Amino acid sequence: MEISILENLQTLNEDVMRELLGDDIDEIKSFRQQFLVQAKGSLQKIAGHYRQDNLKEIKEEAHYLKTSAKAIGAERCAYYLQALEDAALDLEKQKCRAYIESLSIEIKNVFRACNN
Amino acid sequence: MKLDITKTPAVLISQNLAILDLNDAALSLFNKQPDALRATPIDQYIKFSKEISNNLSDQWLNHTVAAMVSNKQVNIAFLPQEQNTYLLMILDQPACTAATPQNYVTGSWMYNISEKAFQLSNTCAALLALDQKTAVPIERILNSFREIDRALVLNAFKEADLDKKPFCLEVHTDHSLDSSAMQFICQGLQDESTPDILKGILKRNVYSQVLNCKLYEQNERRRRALEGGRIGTWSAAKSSQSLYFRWDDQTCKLLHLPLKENHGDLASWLAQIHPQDVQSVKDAIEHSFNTNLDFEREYRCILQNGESIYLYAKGVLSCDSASGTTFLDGVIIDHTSIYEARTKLEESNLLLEAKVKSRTAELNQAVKHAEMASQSKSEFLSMMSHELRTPMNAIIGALDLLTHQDNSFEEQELLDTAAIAANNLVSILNDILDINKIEAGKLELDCYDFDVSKMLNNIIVIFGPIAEQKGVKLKVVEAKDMPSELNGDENRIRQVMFNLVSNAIKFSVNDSKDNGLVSIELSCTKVNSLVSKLVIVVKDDGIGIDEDTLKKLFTPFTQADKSTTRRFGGTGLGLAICGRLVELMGGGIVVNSELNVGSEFAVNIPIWNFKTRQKALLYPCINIYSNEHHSDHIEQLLDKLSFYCDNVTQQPIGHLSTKASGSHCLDILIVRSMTDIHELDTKPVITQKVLILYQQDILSQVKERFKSAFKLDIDTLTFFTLEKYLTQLKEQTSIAPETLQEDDFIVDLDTNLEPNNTTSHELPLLIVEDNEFNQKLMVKQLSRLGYNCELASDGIQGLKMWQSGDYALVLTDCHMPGMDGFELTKHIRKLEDKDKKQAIPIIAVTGAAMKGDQEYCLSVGMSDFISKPVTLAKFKNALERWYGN
Amino acid sequence: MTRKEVEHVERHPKVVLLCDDVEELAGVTDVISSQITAFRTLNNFSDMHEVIVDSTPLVIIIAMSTVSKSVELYSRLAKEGALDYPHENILLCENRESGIGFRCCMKNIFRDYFIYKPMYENYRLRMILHNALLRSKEAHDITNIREEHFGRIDEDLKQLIDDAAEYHQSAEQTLKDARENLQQAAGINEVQTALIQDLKAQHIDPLLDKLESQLADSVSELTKRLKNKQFSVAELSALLTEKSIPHTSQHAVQLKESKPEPKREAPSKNEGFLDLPPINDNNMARSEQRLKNSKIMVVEDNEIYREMISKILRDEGHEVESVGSGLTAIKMLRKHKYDLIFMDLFMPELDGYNTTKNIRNIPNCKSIPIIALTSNKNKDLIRKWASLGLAAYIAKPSTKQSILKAVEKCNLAH
Repeated sequence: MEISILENLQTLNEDVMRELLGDDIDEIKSFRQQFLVQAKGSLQKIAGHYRQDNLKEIKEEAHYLKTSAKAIGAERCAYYLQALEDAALDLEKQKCRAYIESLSIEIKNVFRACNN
Repeated sequence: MKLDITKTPAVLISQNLAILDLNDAALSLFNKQPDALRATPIDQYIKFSKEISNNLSDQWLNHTVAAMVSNKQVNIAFLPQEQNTYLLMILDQPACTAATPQNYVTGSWMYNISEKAFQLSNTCAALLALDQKTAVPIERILNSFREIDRALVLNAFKEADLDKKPFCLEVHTDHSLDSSAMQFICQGLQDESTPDILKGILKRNVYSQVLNCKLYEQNERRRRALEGGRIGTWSAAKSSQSLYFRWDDQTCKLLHLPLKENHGDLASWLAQIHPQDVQSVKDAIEHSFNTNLDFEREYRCILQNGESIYLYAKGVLSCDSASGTTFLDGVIIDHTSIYEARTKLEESNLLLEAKVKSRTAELNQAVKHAEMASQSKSEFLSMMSHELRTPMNAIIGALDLLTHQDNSFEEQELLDTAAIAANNLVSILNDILDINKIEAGKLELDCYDFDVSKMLNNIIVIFGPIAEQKGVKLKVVEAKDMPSELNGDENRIRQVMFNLVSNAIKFSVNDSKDNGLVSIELSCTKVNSLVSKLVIVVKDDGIGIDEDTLKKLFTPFTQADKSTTRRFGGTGLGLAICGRLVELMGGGIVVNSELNVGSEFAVNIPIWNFKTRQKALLYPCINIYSNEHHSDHIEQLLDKLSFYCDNVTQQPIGHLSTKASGSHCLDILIVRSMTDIHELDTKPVITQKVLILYQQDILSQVKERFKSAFKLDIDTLTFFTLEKYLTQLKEQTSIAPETLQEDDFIVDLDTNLEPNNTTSHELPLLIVEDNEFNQKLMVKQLSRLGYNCELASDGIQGLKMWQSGDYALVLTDCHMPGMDGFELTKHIRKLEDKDKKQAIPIIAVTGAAMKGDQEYCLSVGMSDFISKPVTLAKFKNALERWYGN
Repeated sequence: MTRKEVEHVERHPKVVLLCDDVEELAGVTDVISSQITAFRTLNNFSDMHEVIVDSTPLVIIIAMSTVSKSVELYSRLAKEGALDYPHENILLCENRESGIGFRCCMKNIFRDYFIYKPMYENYRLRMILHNALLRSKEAHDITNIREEHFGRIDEDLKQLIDDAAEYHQSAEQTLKDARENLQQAAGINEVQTALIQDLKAQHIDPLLDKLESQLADSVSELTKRLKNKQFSVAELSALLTEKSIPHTSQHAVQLKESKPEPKREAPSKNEGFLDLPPINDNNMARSEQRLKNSKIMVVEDNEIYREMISKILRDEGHEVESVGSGLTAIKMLRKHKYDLIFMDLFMPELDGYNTTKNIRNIPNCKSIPIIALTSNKNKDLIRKWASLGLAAYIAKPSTKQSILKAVEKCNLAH
């Protein structure tokens, strides 16, 4: 999966899960739900770390959530998470802020996509 | 000296004529043994001419009677004796009509006038107590007579020398012990042809002679006894004013005097006495005579050879009213050896006494020392503990601060180690303080209602990881009828359990096996209608305790083995404290142990007030999914669940439906093995409400499989945890996963909830603390939490700063030189009162986490307290509560 | 929950502890055995000789009652020819002999020393042991990598690595000999000896050190380059795998639309997979049969992804054990035997690289195939990781096909 060009990415690439799990809708729903729960917690943690200038922790948390995002096919989410990871590693606080905000919006999109 | 009379056979008979005694001559006459003769009637051996009757009349007494003895014709004289006994003298001669009655003993003598010497018959010599029988000079004969008779006899002979005429004299002998007289008869010349020779007889009444004989024998015996006992006799006679003393041979021997010197006046009697004792003896003798009281004295005598002896003298006073003479008859006894022994005894007594005294003094000293040492030990220990706790608290605080930094894994490991070590040290110090408090009787119980299941859970939470680390399995059995709350000193009961469980874990590591098992059993049984008892049993399967150690297990500083201290660490105070605490609570500890098998500590504590557990129905139904149907686990679970649900069913794991049932029922899943997990793996992901009860050894698997599910260790299940989880699960229903909102994903990047970088804490805190290190530490901790601080190093300075500055809050140490925290608080409160100012929050930082101290803090007007060691979390908690309020 | 085996009688130990009093060293043995299980304690000379000759342990730890005895023992073993192979030696001594220990190490008699009485820092001992193992294994690993994981890599490359390793060793030996000779070089009189010592300390030793380090650097540079080459082969294979994914996945989708059960056929359509022998139906059935029995471990901290992979593998009939951390994985691997491991690179506490390193120390796990799961582009890290032996490399989240391919590849390779 190429996650370098945002335009090519989907909010929720349903194929990814299908590739992995086949047609088990319940299963897929369950994983998406898990992701959202995870995302909620992670996002708050990231925000907390940001407020405390704890960029290293942001990177760790973002990396963790990125794996999940990729797994369920939240490609744009994964993109922002990767970007956030890089920005945090470079200690670019302003960039981090922008990415966290984008991430927040994007997760809302995923939430909507999941509930459709 | 045998008297002739003894050669005459004599028999003593009783009134009824039975033989009582007889002499040798009689024995040979009867030719029988004395035993055969005694008590037999006399007429069996003697045939009297007249019939003898029991009542011997005058015609028998003092007369001779003819009789036959052993076919021999004899005459027998009957002599009445004292106590109605009679002496029978068997006389060889046939009775004759001679003028001389046969009841006389007669000796004959011849006197050569020219030679002035006597020729004596045997009897005569005996009567005169002389050995010599021929050519006995007259002086010697005279000596046998009493002094007063001698002149008489001498005169009689002088006359007879000239006129050769017979004479008859009544004489007394000195040696004769009775006063009866003898007849000294001169019959004139032997014959006309020999004009120089006078002949005569000496006659004595036989009865007198026999008496004399007996008396003599008695005298002899007494003399021998006195001689053997080194007892001398003496007597003093007082007529008119003069005293005349006489004493016997034994006295002479005692006093080393020549035998002749056996009489004298008072002076000669006193001559030998030690000059220092003379006066007292003299006084005592005079006193006796004057008062008619007996004389008794102990005194010293100096012998001629210079030796000194100790004498005991005693005399009995008697009066002869006829002559008007008073006699003091007495004995003297050589008491030297007794006296010496007594002296020695006294000396040794004195010595002993002195020794005892000095020993007692030493002992007292030692006791005093020991008491002082014990006191100072206690003082030292508690002082040291206090002294050590202050820096230890600082160290713990510092370590806590460090752990809040970004540390590498290894750094963190080191910090953790240091923190554990420091905490252990503090708990050891607390132990020491505790034991001192208990020993000094200063520990008081603080009883209140508490949740015993919660306390149990507390212990499991703390020891669970420790046990796991050591490879020890923890198992909890909580009786189903355990009260929900009971009244007691929770902290102390917990302390006892802490100690027991920590020991059990420590020692359950048995060399012979890999896994230890420690079980904690809690139950509550009724003793009578008023009292119940809480029973806590802690079992391990460890190294066990031998019997000797078992006995002293509860004395301080004892561990099962010296080597165990090395191996397992610890102060050895834990069990001592447990024992004392349980005692204090009125309970007891019973220990059972077998070497290499394990130990069991059973504590029972009387409980007066408790609340029985009430049903609190949380679910309409609960389904248990377990591949195990009947086991202790299930039984206990069902017991516990019965309080929360009336409808509990049981099914194998295979029946678990993973789809949310939608009902309000709860599913409980019991996962005990990898097989269970694999079975679950084949099922879709669980989405419904479920409580998982797992076996500790597959925890990591369960954790990874069911990350978000509620799960509990089935072995350490308590009412407390079960209820908590069941309640949580029930509430969770409303926060079902699908209720995620879009808003949940909104982030707030600006509002800083953390006090870290904020400027909101503008008003500074005032820290009053004397220890410099602690000052630094607290400033660091507080600035980390985003607070500004100002420092005062004692109460006085603190008070000044409070008066002149504006602070949001005061943090003060309690014990400081000068003005302590309590004083400071009182001052501040008083001033605030006076000025009608709002009270500033004052938080005490107390060293001792004792209930009493904390109450005292509040009683003097402090707002709150934090116990040392102060961690960031504690500061944060307290400051959030009080800062700005 | 079970405690570690503390039976130090490994038949072919990698680490041996030579001592005269086993009791005294209980603490040390515990520490060592917690680090490495292939470890044995010996206190009898003939046993020592036999075990060393038999199993040529990588690390020899000597802890006789005194340092002089330890030196004596070591030289005796050396004289008897038991030590004629590359190994690391560590001296354990008591605190009071720390000075002597230090000097022994300075004279290169021992590589390192550790104060075991009293033992202040068991981590230090573990560090020393770890480093020693690492150093001595460097040479061995070069061979291991070749043997176990790069069997199909060009023979020349292998040879080069071997040469490098040998060169490194012999150079090291030469240097060591040179040092020893120097050490033994004595002057005619004391003054001269002292002069020589000074000279050595000030000039020769630093020179030698520099030489050694340069040599080491250049060798490691050489080795690194060689390994890079090796890696690039592995990377190539991974890249190829990745490249093949869109193709196969699309194909799979198409297949899914037309057929209800497309899974079985999907892999057979794949021609692009590296080094995979042509798969026919027979082959497939056989391998399926075999794969059913595979016991696979998934090590991944992200539970969603972990569950997904586990589910995919389970659905294929494999027995899957999934764990969330490297530490748990190591624990489980010590107890149970697995056929294959999927492992994430970035994990808290212990990352994939370090987990693998530990796994390779577990007996029976030396050659267990490990498939790396990572989206990480950090080539250096993966390169490093590959040096420990990786069977394949999968980019997250990947697809069912690529995951199953990797499994197949491993199974066929074995």
